[in-house]
Amino acid sequence: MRPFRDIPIERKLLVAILATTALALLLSGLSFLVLDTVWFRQQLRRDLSALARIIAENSTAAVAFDDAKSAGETLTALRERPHVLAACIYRLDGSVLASYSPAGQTCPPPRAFGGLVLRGGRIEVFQTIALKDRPVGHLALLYDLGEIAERLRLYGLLVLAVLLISGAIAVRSSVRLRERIVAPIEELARDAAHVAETRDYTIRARKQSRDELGVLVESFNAMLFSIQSRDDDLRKALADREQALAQAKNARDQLEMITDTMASAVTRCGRDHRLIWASRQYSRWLNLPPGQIAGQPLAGVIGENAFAALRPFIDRVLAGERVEYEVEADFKTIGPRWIRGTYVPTRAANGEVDGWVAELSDITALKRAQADVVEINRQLQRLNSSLARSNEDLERFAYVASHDLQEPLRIVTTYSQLLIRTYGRELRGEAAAFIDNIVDGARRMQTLLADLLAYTGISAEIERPVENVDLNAALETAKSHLKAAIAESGAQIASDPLPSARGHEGHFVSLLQNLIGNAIKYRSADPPRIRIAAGRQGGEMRIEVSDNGIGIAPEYHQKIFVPFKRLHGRKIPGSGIGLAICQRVVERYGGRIWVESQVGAGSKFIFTLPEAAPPAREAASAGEAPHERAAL
Amino acid sequence: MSAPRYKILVVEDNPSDVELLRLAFKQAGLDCELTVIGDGGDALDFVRRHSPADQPPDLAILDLNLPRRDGVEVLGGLRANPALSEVPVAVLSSASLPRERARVEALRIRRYIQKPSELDEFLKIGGQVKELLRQEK
Repeated sequence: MRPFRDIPIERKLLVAILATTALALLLSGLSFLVLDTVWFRQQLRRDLSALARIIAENSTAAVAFDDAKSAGETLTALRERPHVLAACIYRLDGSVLASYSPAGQTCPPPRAFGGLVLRGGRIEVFQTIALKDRPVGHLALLYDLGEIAERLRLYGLLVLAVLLISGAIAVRSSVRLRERIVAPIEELARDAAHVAETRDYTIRARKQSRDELGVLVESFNAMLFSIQSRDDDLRKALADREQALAQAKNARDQLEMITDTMASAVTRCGRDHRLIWASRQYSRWLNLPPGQIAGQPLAGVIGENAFAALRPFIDRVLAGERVEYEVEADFKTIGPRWIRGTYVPTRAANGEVDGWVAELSDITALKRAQADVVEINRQLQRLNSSLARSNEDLERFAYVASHDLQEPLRIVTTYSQLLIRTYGRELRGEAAAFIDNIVDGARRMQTLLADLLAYTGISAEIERPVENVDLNAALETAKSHLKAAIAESGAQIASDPLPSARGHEGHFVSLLQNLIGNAIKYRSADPPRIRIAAGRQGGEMRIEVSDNGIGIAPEYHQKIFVPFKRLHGRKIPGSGIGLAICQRVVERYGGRIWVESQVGAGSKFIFTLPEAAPPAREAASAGEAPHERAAL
Repeated sequence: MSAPRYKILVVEDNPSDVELLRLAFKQAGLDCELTVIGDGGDALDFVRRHSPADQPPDLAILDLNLPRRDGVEVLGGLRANPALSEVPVAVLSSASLPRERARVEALRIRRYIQKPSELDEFLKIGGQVKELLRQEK
């Protein structure tokens, strides 16, 4: 049988109610019974005593006169009392005078004293019958106590009936109580079980009363609410953690994706020289499976030789320095390689260096190519200098040749002239004309040589120091050289004030002379009008020599600067080297020269030169804008 | 002829030019006696060995381009000899390179004559030398 504490509350309630009711009824019934019995007995005793006394007094005369008949009649009055078993009147000697015995009961032996004796379910009452305080006889009453037993039985039946009725009421009320108390508890229990089963903390128990059960439901709901919010918090924390994990994974994936696309390999190492992480590029490069790298000592992964080669850089990075290096190292798995590395120290939260991140590129091929390039460069330089030397030799040769060839040519010219002068009259036929042709040819060759000398001389005279040349003076010199041509053509030359330039005066004279000379030489039908303009542009001097001459077709704008290129026949004299000289002069001093021209629209030759550094005191007083000076 | 007879030292390796000079002097009517040395080394020896007892030339005409020693060295030797240091010098040179020309112009010379390629121009040298000698007298 289950212990009481384990049976359902419903039964408990029922049992408690029944037990309480029964106990209460029993106790009250019993106490009533006891009280009633005691009280009844006293009452009976008093009653019987009174009865005995009355009968005794009534029978006094009969006894005194020993009248059995009247005594018997007196006793007959006891007929009214059903429980009187017997009544006996004794004489003083103890013999029975009269008796009343409805049930055939014999009289007990008389006793001399009065009083009540309880004997065998009956009360014996003895009463002395006295006449004027002199005893004349005795009376005995035998009273059956069956009345009391009957009362008791009636009581018992009553109590039983009450018990049954109250038990029925108790069962009924327990059913109602069940509805009021147990049902809500059961509902609560079901709710709790449901919550436990489904973990659905949004459920709320129904509050049906304001008693303790109501409080319990409220507490339960409050508990559910707190569990729900805690559950929510927990779920949220879990979700956060999952999200953080996903983010971490995402970050790791991204790191790997990025490092996978990088040409260089990336690793992270700790202070203990162990690899913490390495990009796939690294394992691929070292020809190792990726799993065999993380956590391994670097020396084990790359080999002791390579580690020894990298050791100085490792020591430096662990001292907190960012290290960039190129080194050749012998790797265990892939042999000797040139690598370019960048080591960046990593720091723990306390700021101490706890390792480093390395970015590594295999530059073996690059180094090889570099070595090749260096070798090729060396060869190129050798070639270049030998070319420059041979070019220089050639120029020097051309320069010296054009100079030295003039000598014999001069002799040819002068002696041919001497021949005509001396023997002209003796020459017959075309001899004099032939000799004239010789002279003419020699002269042209001389002009050519002179121009060639001028052309080659521009760069041949490199050792002469440059000086500031006043271009106005150079222009005057050029004009004086061209005096005859200017006079003959009626040319008008107008010029802006010109700046100074760094160089040799002769070169600038020759530059201006050639440009002005060309303007006169290639003039149109009108007298030449030549204008020289000077300006500044982008930190350079820009000088323009424009004319109203015949102009130059655009397709020749480049060609005219090539030595010995001529656009015109013998009609216009010239060796075709003038503009080549101009270009050479301008370029030698770091400038450019070009032409803007159209046929019939005149020509404009433009050249630029770096601005000459003004003498210090001029610069101080001229107050030029600082940026203009800076541009020099 | 009462004109003084001039002694002229000509250091010139090209006989053609020496002939032209003679022609030019002749046409200018210059009465002169030419001492011609055609080699730089010989000319340097000559100016070094020249003693005060010898009569110094009235003018020295130097070519610059000479075999063995060039005209500038000869000029140096001439200037170094006290017996000759005051002799006026004319440089007669072909179209010289600018570098040489700058070197020569730094020396104390009377005249720099570029050998002309036109006969008439060359013959004018006779008159120029005559004028020079007259100034020196």
